[in-house]
Amino acid sequence: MNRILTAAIREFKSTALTKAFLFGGIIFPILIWGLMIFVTSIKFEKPPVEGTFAVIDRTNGGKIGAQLSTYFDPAEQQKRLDRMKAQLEMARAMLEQSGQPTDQFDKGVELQQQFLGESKDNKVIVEVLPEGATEDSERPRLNAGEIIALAVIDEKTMALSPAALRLDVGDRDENEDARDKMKKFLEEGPGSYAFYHGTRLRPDHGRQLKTAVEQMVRDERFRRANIEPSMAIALSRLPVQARSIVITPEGEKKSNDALTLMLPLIFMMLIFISSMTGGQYLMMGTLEEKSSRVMEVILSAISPRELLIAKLVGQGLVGLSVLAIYGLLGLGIASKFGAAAQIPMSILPWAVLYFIMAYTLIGSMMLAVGSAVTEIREAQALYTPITIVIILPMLLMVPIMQNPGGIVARVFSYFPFTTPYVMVMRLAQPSHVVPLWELIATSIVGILGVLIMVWIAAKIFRVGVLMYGKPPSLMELIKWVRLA
Amino acid sequence: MSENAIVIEGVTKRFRDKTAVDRLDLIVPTGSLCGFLGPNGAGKTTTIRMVMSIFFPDEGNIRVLGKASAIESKDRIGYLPEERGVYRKAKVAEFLTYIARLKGVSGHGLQSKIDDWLERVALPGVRKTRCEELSKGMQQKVQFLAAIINDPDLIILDEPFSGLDPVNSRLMRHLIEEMHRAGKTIIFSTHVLHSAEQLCSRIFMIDKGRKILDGSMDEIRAQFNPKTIVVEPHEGDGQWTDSLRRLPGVSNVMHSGERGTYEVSLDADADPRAVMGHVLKDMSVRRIELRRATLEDVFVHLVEPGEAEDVLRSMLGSGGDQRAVNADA
Repeated sequence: MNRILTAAIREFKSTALTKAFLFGGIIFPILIWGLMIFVTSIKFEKPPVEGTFAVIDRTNGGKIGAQLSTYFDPAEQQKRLDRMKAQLEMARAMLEQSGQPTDQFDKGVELQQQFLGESKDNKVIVEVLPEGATEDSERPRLNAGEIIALAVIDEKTMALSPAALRLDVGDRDENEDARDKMKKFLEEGPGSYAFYHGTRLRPDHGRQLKTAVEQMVRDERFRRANIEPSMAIALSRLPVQARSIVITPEGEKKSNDALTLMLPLIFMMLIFISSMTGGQYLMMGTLEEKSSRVMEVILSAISPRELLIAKLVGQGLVGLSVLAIYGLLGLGIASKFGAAAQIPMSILPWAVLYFIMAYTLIGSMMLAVGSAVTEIREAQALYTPITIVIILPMLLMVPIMQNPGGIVARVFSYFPFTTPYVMVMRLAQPSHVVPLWELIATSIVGILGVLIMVWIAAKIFRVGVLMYGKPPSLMELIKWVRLA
Repeated sequence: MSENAIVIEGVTKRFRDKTAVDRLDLIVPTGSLCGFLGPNGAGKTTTIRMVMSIFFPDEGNIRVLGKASAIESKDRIGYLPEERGVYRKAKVAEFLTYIARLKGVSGHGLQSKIDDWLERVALPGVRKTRCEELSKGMQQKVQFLAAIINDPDLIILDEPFSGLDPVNSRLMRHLIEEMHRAGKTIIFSTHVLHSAEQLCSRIFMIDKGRKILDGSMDEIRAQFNPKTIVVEPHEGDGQWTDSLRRLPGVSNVMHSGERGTYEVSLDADADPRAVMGHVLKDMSVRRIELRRATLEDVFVHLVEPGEAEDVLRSMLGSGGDQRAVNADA
């Protein structure tokens, strides 16, 4: 017992207390996290749109062109910006009065302002071309870069009665080109217009010009329907906000839908990452002890089985530490967003159990591989079956998240290689209740599977650790299990 | 303490269809210093691993320090495996502490003990050095310390001299002798006959998994009476071959490795003393001696002709006794 403890402590120390582990396992993920926040918070400078935007306006009354000119008029832009700000402030005040949270709203405002701000410095001269101008006559100017883009708007663009939208795709039997028709309809049918530009137009500049056209066309449609455009826009902006409230046995909680969706995934990935980390270290450690020939020195003091157990325990503690660190980190982030209360704490002991199951299974397989070969590249061939087992939970992720009580989820709950992942995903789904008998039954099956795997690994380990030379094939490994 | 440190009875070990150890019987008396000889692949390491309970015999019994297996007395055994290494990244003291702990040595006084030992093997001040920074020979001394750090009663050293330079070989020999004097039972395997001959009070030799020799050095010498006289004439170089060959009872004369020295092989029924008398009558000699049986001679006797050469070559290949190789007829 003392020996196992001594060896387990060494295993833990030699992994967890190294600079490589501290960096790779803890500092690096935090760095990545920080970097992501940093990058997303940078406001990238975008050059304003400058140049002449030519418009051929063939609509009845020809109002679009004129309105586009006004739209890009600097004084108009500033006015619009001010008006928008005033509107937003009013809306915010209303929200506050009604006692609703404003954080989401503020975020929206920020985005909007960012967008408006970027369009403020635009220096676009809209040139409405006289009647008779055609796409062909403007082509040389586009090529020469005298105009940055040309929009051709006509009555078809405006024609958007529901009837005009109807698409006759014809008889289903002979419409193998229905998709082509649909594409053609969207590109050239009612509501479309042609937007010509040279290769030098930046995509984001093109987007801004198109947005302007879109807004002007929409305003004109409102006017033709006798609706005041600014009223229509204001009405469509008024929020319809659902207040999600989960009813749990302990009472009501505010729910965060995104978190509910992510929770099973987060738990699964936590278990996956921490057990894979442990497993990798087990394989590499065994391989190193073997190839540096220190193995037999160790075996003169401790039996192979004791060593195997010590290694599993030692790296298990490493894995648990990883689990705890990431778990606490996650909990910290969740509580920062006020979502910590939504994590069902009753799942945590199960999560630890499932980690132990997942880790021991992967770990013992890795130990078997690490003990059987002498060099890392020989491990590749034996690693393949492990990879399949590792990928399986990934493949099952989507069907199980969509239907945690479904047949796929239930069947794979009883397959020891997937039990921990599937079960933790099912448990973490608040909408799904796993019956107690199923919890117990799957745990028994899972633990049994783990014990069998450890037993097999111990056999391979015992033969493998002192076997040098040609790496064994999978069939030979099976022979070892029978032999030992 | 029981009378015999190790008792091996009728032990057989097979790997797949190859028999590595074949019905081996062996007794290692407590307090003895035994050499365990045999060519590469003879089954030495397998036997030692079975003694250490790293392998288990297919047939037969092994008792170690009076217990049914080494597992029950692991803490009293020191073992230097043939396949040995160190944790490359670990510091010397860390490594030794870990091994000592595994062998049940408690922390108290362990550090000063490690320092003492490092001093004794001429490695002072390396306790904080990483093992990978040591030379191969230095690493080997650290490995040796790992084997004996628990102050064991039984010490098993598999090829302790391989990879050591002459200075360190001598140091190793002194340490082994010292521990032997302190009453420890020591077994070391080697394929270098010379070092076994110098050290051992007792010799086992195995070949192809079978024991072919077992006994004290004196017994073995008595058993294999030599038929060779070494002659070093007072003067003259290479002119004595013919006159030596003409003497009665002489079957062959060779130049030995040493300059101006002859090895005179005798007929099977010749009396060495009579031949020596003839030599002394014929010429003035600086040195004449009846050669003691070397393990090499014993080996030639024991291993089948034809095979002997192969075995010897494999044994001598790694820095063994050079004389046999230099002999020219």
